[in-house]
This record gives sequence, C-alpha cells and structure tokens, in this order.
Amino acid sequence: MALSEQKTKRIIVCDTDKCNGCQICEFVCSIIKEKTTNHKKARIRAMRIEPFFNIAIACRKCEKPVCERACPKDAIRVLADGSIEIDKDKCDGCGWCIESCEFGALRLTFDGGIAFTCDFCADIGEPQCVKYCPKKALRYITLDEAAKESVKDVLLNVIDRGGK
Amino acid sequence: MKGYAGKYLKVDLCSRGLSTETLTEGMAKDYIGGLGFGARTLLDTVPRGTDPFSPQNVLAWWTGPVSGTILPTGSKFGVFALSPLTGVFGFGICSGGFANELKSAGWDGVVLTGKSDKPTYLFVDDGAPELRDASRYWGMTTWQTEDAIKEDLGDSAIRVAAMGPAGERLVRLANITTDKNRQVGRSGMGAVMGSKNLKAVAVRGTGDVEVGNLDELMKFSAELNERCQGPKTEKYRVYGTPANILVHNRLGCLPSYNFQKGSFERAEDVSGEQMSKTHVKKILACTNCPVGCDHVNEVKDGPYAGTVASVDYESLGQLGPLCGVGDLNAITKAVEVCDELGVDTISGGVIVAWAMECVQRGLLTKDDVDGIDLRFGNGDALVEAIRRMSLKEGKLGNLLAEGVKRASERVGKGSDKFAIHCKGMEWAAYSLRSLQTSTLGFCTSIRGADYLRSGSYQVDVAGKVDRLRLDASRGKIVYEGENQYAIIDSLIICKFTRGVYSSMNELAKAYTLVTGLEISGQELVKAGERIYNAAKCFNVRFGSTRKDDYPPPRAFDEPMTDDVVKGAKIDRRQYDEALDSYYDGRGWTRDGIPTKAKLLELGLTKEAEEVGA
Amino acid sequence: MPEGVSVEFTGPFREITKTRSVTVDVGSVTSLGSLVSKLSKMYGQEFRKRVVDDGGVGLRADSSMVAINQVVVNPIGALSRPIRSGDRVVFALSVAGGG
Repeated sequence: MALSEQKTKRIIVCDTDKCNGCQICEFVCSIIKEKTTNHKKARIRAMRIEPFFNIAIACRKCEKPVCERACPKDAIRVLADGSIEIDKDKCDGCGWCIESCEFGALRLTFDGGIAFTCDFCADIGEPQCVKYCPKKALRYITLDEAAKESVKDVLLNVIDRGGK
Repeated sequence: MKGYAGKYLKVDLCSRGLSTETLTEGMAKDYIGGLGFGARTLLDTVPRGTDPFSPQNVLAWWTGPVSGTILPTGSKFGVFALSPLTGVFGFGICSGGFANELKSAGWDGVVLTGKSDKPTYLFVDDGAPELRDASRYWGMTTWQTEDAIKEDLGDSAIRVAAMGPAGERLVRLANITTDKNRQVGRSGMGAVMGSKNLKAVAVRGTGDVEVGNLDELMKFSAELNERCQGPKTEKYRVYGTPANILVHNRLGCLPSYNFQKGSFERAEDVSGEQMSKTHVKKILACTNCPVGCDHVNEVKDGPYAGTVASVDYESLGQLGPLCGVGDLNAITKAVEVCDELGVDTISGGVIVAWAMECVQRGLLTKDDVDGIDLRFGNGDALVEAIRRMSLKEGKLGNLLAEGVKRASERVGKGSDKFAIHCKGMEWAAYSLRSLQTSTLGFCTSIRGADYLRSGSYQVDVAGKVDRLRLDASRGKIVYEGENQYAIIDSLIICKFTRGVYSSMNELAKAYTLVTGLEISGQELVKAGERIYNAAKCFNVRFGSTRKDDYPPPRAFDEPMTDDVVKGAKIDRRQYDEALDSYYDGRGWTRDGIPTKAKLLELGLTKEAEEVGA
Repeated sequence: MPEGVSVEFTGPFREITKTRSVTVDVGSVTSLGSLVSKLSKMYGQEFRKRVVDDGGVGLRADSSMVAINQVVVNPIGALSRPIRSGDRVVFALSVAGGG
C-alpha cells in the first residue's frame, strides 16, 4: 500500500476497557448489512473471555492479508483502502480464508456458503457499528491514532497518580 | 405477526415427546408475552392441589415479542411454575443472550411438563430440538455446566441456562443461571428443574428475527440508546444499584440484623462508593443493553482472594448489613457461592440472617448449626452457611434449604415472629417499617415479598409521600405501578429503562414497531391489568386471600430504634385502610378476591367462573 | 453545640466535593436554595448544575436527591425549604431501582 494510503488507512479499533460485551455492534451490523436482526450475520464479532475481557473485532485491513494468499480460488482481492472484496462467483465456500485469519474476521453465509467480511459500510462511508456503540468503545481511526490513544491513557494514569 | 415467532415448543419429559404449538394473535394481543404468557400457561395447565415438586407442575419458559430485536434490553425471558418456596405463582425474569437465541431459533417459548426418569437437558437446535442425556453434568456447578455443554456441543455461541447442585437437591430457593452472571433468581425455579431431572436448557438459533418496521425501530432504538447514556440511568451506570446503601442508611431504611434495624454502623465499608474504589474490576452489560450496570467484583486479598462475582444492591444488602457483615470480601464470596451452587442471594441472605437471630436469641444451639459460629457479623460463617444450605449439608443446611417460612415453622419457639417474608418469599432489602408504601407493594405482589411487581418504594424514597405512615391514597400508587410493570415484564424489557420512555404511549409505539400490531398506551395498560389479574387468579386457585397480604409481625409490633426513624412501625389500622384502598381500586373484594365483574371486564371468563367473587 | 448545618455527600457529590461531609456556618443560610448557592461557591458550578435546574428555580430530581433530617425533600418547592442550624442535609443520586 502506498504511504499516502497508509496514512489514511483506518480500521475499527475496540477499547477493551470500555467494551462491556453488550453485542449491540453485532445487531446493528446485521440490520445495516442484511436488513434483519441476526447477530450471526454480523461482520463484526463480539468476543468474551471470562471473566472480564470483552472485545469486538472486524477485518484489520492487514498489509499482507493472509486470506488473500490463502484463497485457492483467487476469489479475494485487496482494495485500495486496504479492505477486502470477495468475488461471490469464484468463492466456493471452502473456508480456508476463515481458518487462516487470526482475527476471526471472516464468516460463511448460511445460505450458499460464501465467505464475507466487513466492508466498513463503504456505501454509507462510515462503519455504523462505531456510530451506535453505546460506550464509544469502537472507533474508526488510523493505527497511529490508536497508538497515541493507548499511550495517552497510560500517561494520564501516571499523571493522575502524581508521577513525573 | 412480526416480532413473535408464532410458535412454541411443548416438551413432555415423561414420554420425551416434543411438539410444535401455535401462538395465536389473540394470545399475543391479550397477554403480550413474558409474564402474560406465563400467567396464561399456568392458569391453563396447573390444577388446584398440584404439588410443586410433582411431575404435574409445569415449567414454562417465555420470551416476549421484543426479544431478538434491536429494541434496547429486549433480550429477556421468564421462567414460570408453581413455586416450591411459596406455593403460589412462581417466576423469575432473566437477561443474557438466551432470549435472543431462542427467538432466533424460531420459538417464542418452551413449555415443559412431566418428569424425566434420568438426568436430561433440552437442546433447542433451531427447528430441531431434542432431549439429551445430562448425567455427565449432574453435580456440576452452574458455570461448569454451561462450559461443559458448550464444549460438548462444539459451539461456544450456544446459550445455556442451568440449575446448580442446589436445584438437584430441591433446595426451595434454587435458581437458574445463564451467561455466568444472569439468573432466574427468585421463587425456586431451579428446584422445579431439579424435580423434573432437567439439568439445563441449551439453545442455538441461527435464524433471522423479523419486525414490523425495521427502519423506524432502528431509529427509535438509537434514540433510546442515547437516552440511556443520560441522567435517567446514571445511578446504574456509575455506582450501580449499590449506590443505594449509603442513601438508605441515612434514611434509616437499610435493613440490617435481620430487619431488626434500618441502619448499619459499617455502611461506609460496604457502600457502592467503597465497592467502586476497591472491588469493582469491570462494569459489564447484558446482551443488547446500552446502559451497562453489572458491577463485577474481584477480591484482591485475604482468604477469598481471587473470588469473582457480580454484586448488586440486593445481594450486597442481604448478605452484608442484613447479616451484620461489613466485609466486602466475604460478601463477594457469599455471592459467588450462591451463583455457582445456584441459589437466590436475596432469599439466602434473609434465611441466614434469620438463623443468626435464632442463635442470638438462643433458639438454635451450637449443635443445631453444625458447630458454626453463626453470629451476626461473622462473614466466614455466612459463607459456610450458604454453602451448606445450597448443598443440604448437615442439620443447618437441611433446615435452611427449606426457606425461612418452613424453617421457622420447624424450629418453632416463636422464631416465626422474625421470619421476614410474605407468602413464604423472603423480604428484599427494603425496610419493613420506614418505607411503608413499599411494604404495601411487597405484600400485594403476586410472587410474594418483592418490589419488582410495583416499584412502590419509589414514592417513599423520592419523598412524594410520607413514608412513615399509610393511608387510602397508597392503593392506587401500588396497583398502577403493578399494571405498568406487568407490561414491562411481558414485553420484556429492563425496568432500568423505564425512565427513558416518556410514557406508556412510547412503550406502545415500541410494541407496534416490533410486531406490526396496533396498540395504544391505554390498551397496553389494560393488558397489564389483565395480566396481573390473571396471575392473581392463579394465586386464588391456590388459596391466597387477604390473610396472605400482610407483612410479618415485626412490622407492626416492634418500633424501630434507629435515631433517624425512631419509633417507626406500621399502624395496623392504617395498613388495613391502605390495603382496602388497593382492593377497592382493583375491583376486588375486601378479602382480596377479584370480582366476577372485574374478571369478565378483562376477558378472563374462565377465571370469573372458577375464582371470581 | 457548634452552630451550623451538617452536610453529607454521597455518590457523585463526593467526587465533586472530594469530601464526605462539611459543616456550613448557618449565618446567611435560610433555605435549601441558599445552602446550595453557598456550596456552589465552595465547590464550583458543577455542584450547582447537578442540583438546580437550568431555570435556577427547581431541584433537578433526575440527577439528585436531597434529604433534610432524614426526610427526603419533595422535589416540588424543594429549594425554598427552610434550613436551620443543627439540621443535617444529605446530597445523593436520585434513587430509582433496587436489585
């Protein structure tokens, strides 16, 4: 990806301190993308690891996407903004991409068994899960911004405790 | 119909037969869902004289029309049966992903009858439900059961609602747990599962849930979502309900020492403020809830280090101040034991507090309590007593497992005078004598002593009425609350969102957007009245009359000694006047029986014939 | 006996004032409204905003609850409630909901 695109590449980042496991992102996604309520059709996936860890993960727009390389049918294409496009005609639902993605970002449709993943609500222009997250745990930001947020949290903690 | 699945599953545990039954539009409009359906089912299937532990008892699991949709807090279900604790209408309402999953699987509910001859669990796998062997899980805690079933079925997205060892042993206050921290808490529904050899209900739903108007519902839900971040829900989101501790303490309405007093000298140590500082590790949310009020504690030091439990006001109050315990570590541990072994924290706390008072008065010997130092304030003894009660271990465990009413009848010696319950249901953490409208609501509640049927404590703590006396204005406050709450419990949504809806008309709007069925706010309230009366008719069938709508003797006979509410007690004449105003307003007789006229007005024709006065 | 009104803070009021309680000289305090004004001067406008509505007339019942001598003040006409030396006032979150 060209540097100019890297600078603007945004992904859905989840603050695991704020994420409380409500799963509303999943319901919203299914409504926006599938016009129905079924959280198993969502592109974003809410994960809970007992007792306190909660996160919602969607496609990470990897620089060298494993899914693209894994697909035996060449059905996966990386778009200019780093997101993934899956050719419905070429995909035969083998699921190799689903297994290879370390973030569990791909799913298989119930009917027809075609792989799908988050397209960041390209037609709307802004991921809707981010808009509706009640605790503002989801942000659609660049990785650089995400890094700065993390550092800021740590620093504020130190400052709060009277550190130098 | 949209929202509703339009069908429910009937399971005969004796024959192991499963059948699909239709949910009619008439049923939907008259009874809405949840509590309404539960009341209708129990009325139709549980005859007079049924023993709660017999195969004849029916265990009904019902969602409401809004489960599976985006309406905030809509993922709730209720479990209904004749209660082994109270002998009248029993049920609990529970959140978590279960309700959404069941609706997604294509079912509005599941009605189980009979008794399985061996440990079994029901797996509702979309449209192909089946009964499966549960012997492997028998003896497991609620949490272990959930994990094991998901592992064995190879799908971590499956939702499981299970009873624990307490339910297996028919401990009368046994509950049902799902998603680790969510319970069908009160009235012993877990014990009914135990009596049927039903270890759990697991559900996998992959279907779409259709609604009447998706776009408008989405818009309305987004609006409600926003309101849920505002002042109406602040208390729940920040400190959680434990914020009540200090406030109630200051007002002299924080029950302590088995309701002997209304304040606790160590209130600061167990306050919501303190808990937030030293114990709350994270605040979680129920499935599809934008509020997020579940304060989960982690114990960092001492003998209970590592304990993790979700602690709310009731659990905190009844296992803390009520037992004289001022140690958050011990309280958190007691909650964890309740949750894992599967008993209700409120009932558990009240029963142990009663036992502590028995020990205080010398009515129980050291031998009676298995040598435990069961005195007020002893947190370790509290934890041990809860454990024994949940496992029916020893003399103490077997005594307490019966619930405070039966336990006090067994012990005698006047211990029933301070067994704090109504209809056999242990009293929740609201003062008997210094929140008097609350007490009236506790006693008219069809489930026994609780405020979840009317929320009538609100006018007391908000200063809208004189909380230290009763009069004929209180009946209306209680029954209006009951009718509204009956709707909330039928849709089913969370009572913590009641403040974000501007009126019943907005609730009616939500119903219409989800189901496509037109209904006005007024019709909704009428349905609430019908539902409440239906549940009442069930109680009348089981012998409930005016005599069962009174608080325990302590309310009348023992004036409070706390400085702030010195001398407070309930005046019998005032109570009767208030109770009369409740019955009159409801259109019931002065003996607390719905009249034929009222029941016919509500369309409860069969009931008018059977129990109408 | 010391003169003054004893004021106690719980919940968010503790966060704002950074203290559990304070005794306020009763001198110029004659009503709950005046007491709130005095406390706002001591602890800032955030305190006032929680207690008094935008019009400056009524008690913000949605975000606060006030008890005077263990009697919860009815929100209507709350600010004109008289306060006397020796009174105990508690500021808390509005209570709604139990378990």
